[in-house]
Amino acid sequence: MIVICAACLLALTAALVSLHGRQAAAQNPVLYWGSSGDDVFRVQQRLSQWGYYKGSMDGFYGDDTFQAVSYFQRSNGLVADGVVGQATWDALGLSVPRETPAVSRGVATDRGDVTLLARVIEGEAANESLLGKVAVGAVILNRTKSASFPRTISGVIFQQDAFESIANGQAYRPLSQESLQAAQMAMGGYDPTGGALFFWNPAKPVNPWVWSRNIVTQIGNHVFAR
Amino acid sequence: MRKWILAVIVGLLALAAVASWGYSQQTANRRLEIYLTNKYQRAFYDLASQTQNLEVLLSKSMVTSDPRLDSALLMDIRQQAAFAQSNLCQLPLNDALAGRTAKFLSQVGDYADSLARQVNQGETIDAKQWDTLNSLYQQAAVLNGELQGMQAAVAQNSFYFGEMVRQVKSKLQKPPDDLARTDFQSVDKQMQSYPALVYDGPFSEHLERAEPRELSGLGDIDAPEAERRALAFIDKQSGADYQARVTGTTNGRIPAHRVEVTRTGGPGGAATVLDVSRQGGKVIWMMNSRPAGDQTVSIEEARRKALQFLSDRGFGEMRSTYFQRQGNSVTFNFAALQNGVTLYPDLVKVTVALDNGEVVGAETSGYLMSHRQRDLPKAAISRERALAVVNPRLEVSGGDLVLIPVGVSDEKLAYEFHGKLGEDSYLIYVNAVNGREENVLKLIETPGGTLTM
Repeated sequence: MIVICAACLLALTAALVSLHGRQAAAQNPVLYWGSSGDDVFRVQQRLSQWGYYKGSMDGFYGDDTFQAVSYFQRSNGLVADGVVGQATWDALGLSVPRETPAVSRGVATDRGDVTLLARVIEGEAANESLLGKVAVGAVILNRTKSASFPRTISGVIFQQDAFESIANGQAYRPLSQESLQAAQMAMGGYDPTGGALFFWNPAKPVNPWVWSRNIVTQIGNHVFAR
Repeated sequence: MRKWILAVIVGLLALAAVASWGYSQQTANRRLEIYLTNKYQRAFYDLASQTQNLEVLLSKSMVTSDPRLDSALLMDIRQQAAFAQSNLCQLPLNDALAGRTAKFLSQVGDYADSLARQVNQGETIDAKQWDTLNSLYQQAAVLNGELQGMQAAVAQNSFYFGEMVRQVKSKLQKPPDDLARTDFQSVDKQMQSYPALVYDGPFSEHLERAEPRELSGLGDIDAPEAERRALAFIDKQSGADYQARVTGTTNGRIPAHRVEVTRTGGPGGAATVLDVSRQGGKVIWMMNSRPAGDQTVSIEEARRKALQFLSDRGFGEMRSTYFQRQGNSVTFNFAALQNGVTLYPDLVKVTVALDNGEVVGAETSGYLMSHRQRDLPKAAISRERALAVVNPRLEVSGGDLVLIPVGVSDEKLAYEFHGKLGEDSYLIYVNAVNGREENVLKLIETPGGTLTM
């Protein structure tokens, strides 16, 4: 009788919790043989992730779960009574925080990367159309996705001899609005180069090695290659 | 007579000033050169020791039996590979010299990462994966051996990297030769012999050759047809005539005809450039370079225009998932829907100018690469069950079914929850089949739109 009541109560609590969001759950319920519901499911899931539980995740506290909880308690220096009380909840890392601590707002933005990308675009393609500028930005972003290059925008841009405008300081000119827009569009996924990793101006002297790459297209004064 | 002496004194003073200026310049120059040399030396020695760690860790990972230890080792491998690659990239070497070594380091890291995830999910490393670990281990040992050999040369010549920089500068136009360049080039050549990896990590080689699914089975189109398709695609303004011209072909991930559309009559504007895929004749991207004037159209109106633009061009049901403003234009992301499930891999981006609401840009490569009628699995757990997995500290809302990309080639059906902790917002994805938390994204508000990280 008590077991059934507890189960009903649990189901009711679970329903209330899911109706009112999460703040309502002030503390963890005690779970034992015969319990059921989402809390049992969470315990089963955690025990299964940690390799203590092999049964099905049915949200019902049966023999399998009892054995798994006892095994977990034994292995972690808890009283192996097969009942999930507060100590076991804590050990499982599932205890409900007593109160949510004040969390201040983060300060992460993408401003640094956009500006840096815009700088190189300004340095390398100031006289190109928006399309030509976006294409240069896209090459830098394609490099961050390629295994042969560093993974971050700054890593790619400051790689030795990667961009002439960085080496000779051309990139530190004032930024134009168009370069900023091109940087944002490239970050937004526009890639007119079809995945190119290299670009160069054929009118200027370049390492002959680059001509051996698979040329994709030409946009404005730049040749793009993969 | 006195004037003559004065002139000599002034001359001598000037000479002394120039000499001391030159001397201070020279010492400053030298100090900077030493500083730079130290920087390169540090990067090189770090690279050597991290490669050594990689070799040792890889060999250990082949003999452990406890999955927890294996997972820790694999995470270490990933970290050491990332550090080693970052140090390699700081050396004065270009892509022709060190590209393959860098690629090897990336792939070792990614492979370890994907194995670590697998081990964490309770699966063991199978025989084939063990063989791959073994071949990576052999390759890491070769790289380690080569770097150890170079250490001797670097130790003997303290200006090894300084000389390398001078050569790189003076011989930019010539193929690389002598000293360090050849040392690194031979290392890089060694790296050529390592076998191509087959796994589903982010930089897997076979993924780079993936076929666009939306185009599979379609026939090739010729240039006049590409011009017709381009004309049909652009956002035509009333009172203007348009003329399309194929200006070339492109050989990117999706081979295409490049089409330029110019307008005659009506208000002038820059040409619109489009890539129309050779196979199937679909527009891969479109871009008009005209600058947008002052805003007269609201973001909401622009969104409606963009959605109308897509439905007029035969894209099925799409959901707006994100937008970002750039000056006076705004780019919207739309994801395809299938039976109410948002398909995040099938993205289309549409840029609208806020001065007259004209669609000035579109990008569909994500959609072309992955869109198809999917065989979606049934959600095996309920939304409430999935909610129970989410960290109880979060204030949660939402819970729509979505399809998210996992890695590059895999897709998972998941519940998408919006979570709030204090003032920070998150998106939490819980796998709808097995109830595992697949991913957590942090939402970052910027003046241009909301970013996810």
